[in-house]
Amino acid sequence: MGHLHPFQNEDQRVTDVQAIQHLQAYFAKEQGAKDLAPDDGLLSSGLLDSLAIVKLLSYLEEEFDVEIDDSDFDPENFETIASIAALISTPSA
Amino acid sequence: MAFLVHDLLRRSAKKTPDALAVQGPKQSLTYAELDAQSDALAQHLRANGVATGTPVGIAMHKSLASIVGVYGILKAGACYVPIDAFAPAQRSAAIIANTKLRHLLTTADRVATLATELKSCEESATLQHLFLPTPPKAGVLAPKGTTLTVWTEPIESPPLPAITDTHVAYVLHTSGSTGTPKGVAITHRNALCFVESASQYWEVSASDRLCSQAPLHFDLSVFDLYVAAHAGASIVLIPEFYAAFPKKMASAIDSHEITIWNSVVSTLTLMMERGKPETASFSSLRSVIFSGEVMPARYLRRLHEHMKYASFFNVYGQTEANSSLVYAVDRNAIPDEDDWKVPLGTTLPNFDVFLVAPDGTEITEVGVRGELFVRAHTVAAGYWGNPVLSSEKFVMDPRPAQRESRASVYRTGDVAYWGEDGNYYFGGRTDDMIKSRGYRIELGEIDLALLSCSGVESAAAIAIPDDEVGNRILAFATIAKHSHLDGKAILAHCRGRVPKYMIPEVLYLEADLPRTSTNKIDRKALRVLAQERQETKE
Repeated sequence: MGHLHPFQNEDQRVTDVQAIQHLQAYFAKEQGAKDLAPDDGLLSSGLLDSLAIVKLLSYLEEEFDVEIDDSDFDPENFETIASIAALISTPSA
Repeated sequence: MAFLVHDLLRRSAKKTPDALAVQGPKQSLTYAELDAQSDALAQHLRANGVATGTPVGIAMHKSLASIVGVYGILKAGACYVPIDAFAPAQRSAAIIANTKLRHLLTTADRVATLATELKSCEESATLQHLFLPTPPKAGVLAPKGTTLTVWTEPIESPPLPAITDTHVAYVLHTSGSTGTPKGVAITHRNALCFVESASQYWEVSASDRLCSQAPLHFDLSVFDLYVAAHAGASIVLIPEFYAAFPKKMASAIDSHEITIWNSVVSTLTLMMERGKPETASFSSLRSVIFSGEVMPARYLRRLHEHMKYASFFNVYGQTEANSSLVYAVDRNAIPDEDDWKVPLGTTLPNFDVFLVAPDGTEITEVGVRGELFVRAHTVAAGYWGNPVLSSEKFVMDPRPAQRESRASVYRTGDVAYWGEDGNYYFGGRTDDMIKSRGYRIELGEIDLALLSCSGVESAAAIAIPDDEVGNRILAFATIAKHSHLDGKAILAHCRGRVPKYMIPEVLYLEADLPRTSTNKIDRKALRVLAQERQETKE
């Protein structure tokens, strides 16, 4: 739809470093949360409410072309930027 | 009967001081502890200039401290004004300005961000005093012009004031079509009459455990907090974000042995879709109450299948009237057709509901549509600081035989009709208000947020009915000729002005918007257009 696709190569998933950068930019824009560290609490701090999570899911599915499996759909996997990045990326070398 | 909301707490603290009042994620409070801690807060508030009847803001996530906060404000003779901790700065500022808040309860970790937010909004200049349950981190300063007080340290202060049940207990803000949120002012009597009615209807007892998930600015929170305190029952604080993790929510209901769950339709439907409900037992649940929008029949059937021991209730009502109708679902009466609509139901104890035709006469025949009016002691005092709007919505009982009573009734703006079965049924709105994810939204408020973005020439938000969330919001706009605006930038601008649940999912930029013969934007045509575009996308 005209926006830049985050992938360099359509066949590969992003590395977690790339994913972290994209997520940091996303939270800065969507939540006004600038300078979030990869390990900062998103749920425990009260930064994300249920509606923000629903929006985050559609962002992840659209931008990263991933389907979050029901078994991964746990708060533990959404607690930090690093844990979300781990869900949607392949580990960087 | 108690006359003041906080008398419910005092009474239970006296009767069962050691009973569990609030279960938090890690800690809990007994009735005696909740009573003593809120007394201490009330003393701090009085000692720092909170006078009887003044509004005091509360910008906190639901926590033990926030419950202490609510009762502390009430005991100080003041009224609480919840501010959504997730709301954008401009909306918080609009609420602060609407109620001219000078005092605000918040948490230590919010002070730093609050300082930045408040600086950006002139409207919040009235704030003078912040109260925190714990000290802020070293080096964190109070926003310019404000003082910080940590309320847990005990102090001496004069005795707490005597107030009556006609004093306002809290002010809840809802979407307003003029772009400014409306503050519904609820008196102690308004709240207590609802609590009394609900306690009776659901036969709540001291052994009940109520799920408490709704944030304080949502009127559902009133049910959990005060119906529990009335019975000496316990509330269990469940984090709001669990609503998005239905599996977690289902296991929390089981592990906390919740007996009464007052929820919204979208949380329950999501649980049926993604919560693996077959893995939970729901064996403690006896009453599941839902409101906010119409529950689709197919989900109601699945809920029945998985929550075998529970009865289901559809509650209808507005913050302004503290609800009014209830429909107890008959397990065997849910038809197989998916287009079956759950009725709004019949009146709760001590409520009077009637339908009025456009010519002002009362409708008494089955099947005839009219605007629904509510008469009860629960009907709010009015909108805070807005006598004009108050006089439009809160009117004298118009029925000829009732004129002498001079009773105030609330015009809901909802169209309803009476069914053959004695239930009321929903028939639409008299204006542009819609419901999405349990929130009331004036489409006009979204239009104004879009139009406030410079470069946007015309804009209209529309709602597309949706089984899971009630309504999905889409929007159309046209922009000035040489503007470089794109949809993303316009939506980013809206995010700073209205809450997330009001942000359109998609914004279509058009060369022109369709108009009606009177040159108004043709929303009907836009709905058709949007549906076509959504279908081609799928």
